[in-house]
Amino acid sequence: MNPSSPLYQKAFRRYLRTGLSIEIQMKTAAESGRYVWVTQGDDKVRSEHAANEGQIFSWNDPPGTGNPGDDYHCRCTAEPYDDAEEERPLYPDAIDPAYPELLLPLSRFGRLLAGLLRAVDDIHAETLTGEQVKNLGRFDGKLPKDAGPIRITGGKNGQRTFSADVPARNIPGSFARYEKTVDRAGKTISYTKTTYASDGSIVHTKVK
Amino acid sequence: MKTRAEALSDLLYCHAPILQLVQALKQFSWDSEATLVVLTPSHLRHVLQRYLDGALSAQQLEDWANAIECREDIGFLKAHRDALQEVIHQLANPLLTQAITAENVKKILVTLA
Repeated sequence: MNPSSPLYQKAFRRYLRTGLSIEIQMKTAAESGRYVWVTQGDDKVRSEHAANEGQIFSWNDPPGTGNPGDDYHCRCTAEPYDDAEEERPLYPDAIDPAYPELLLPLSRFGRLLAGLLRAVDDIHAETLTGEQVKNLGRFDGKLPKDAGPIRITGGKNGQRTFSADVPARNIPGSFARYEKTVDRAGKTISYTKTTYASDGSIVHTKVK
Repeated sequence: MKTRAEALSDLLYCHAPILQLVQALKQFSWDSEATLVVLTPSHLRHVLQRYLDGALSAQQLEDWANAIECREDIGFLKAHRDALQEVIHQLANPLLTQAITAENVKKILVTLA
């Protein structure tokens, strides 16, 4: 690995931000020949190409239409896709693979240490299984940017519920609560979004 | 039977009634370690235009955005990630942000241009 290469520098910055190991990032980048198909989005786009919009393909294994630009006068483009760049704040490498069921002290999470992650403010965070930690990362990574701290509460049979509130921008006191329950194996059991009025009453609950 | 990526692609384009699209995805687990499809500005423009054309109601538009919001298997096109996330959040939460109206949707379309 060349520490002066742009790829290494990028991986290093990401390591500081997320704790994801530089080695894993470099390996992923080297193996990734994938792209997102993007059309021009106008009415001249072939229907077969429009169907590819937003889909992730590999240069080595293109869809039936071929890669973007292969077809005559095709104006579609390929946006490089790197799964490691997707926002998943807590990564599997934060988990000791030898002891996936062990309770992980919060200090293991580099981002928490760095203060870059929203604070997980419940003691149950220290009693997550490895698979639950992965699920927590996905939950956090997909929350709206205005979301507050994630709360983790316990349940029967090792279930854990992650929840976070997103305040309203237009009505003081109103908010939406995103709430996800996972089993001990880290499988999502339920995911709801409940919107509360400023007086604390429930406006509606939507199942994700 | 459609693959998960195909069902997700249908959702991004809102190719069928929302309930039907959501039901099609219920056969798959919610959990996904990987992004399978990516929302792009074209998807968004396509669906917003259908609202402006009267083919979708405000409630249907909200339900569509709500079906996309927080999904682990849907990503956002990197170059427009923040803008796309913001629009999906607004549309999925009109009570917390702003009402879905033709005027507001037109403003959104301008930001996506």
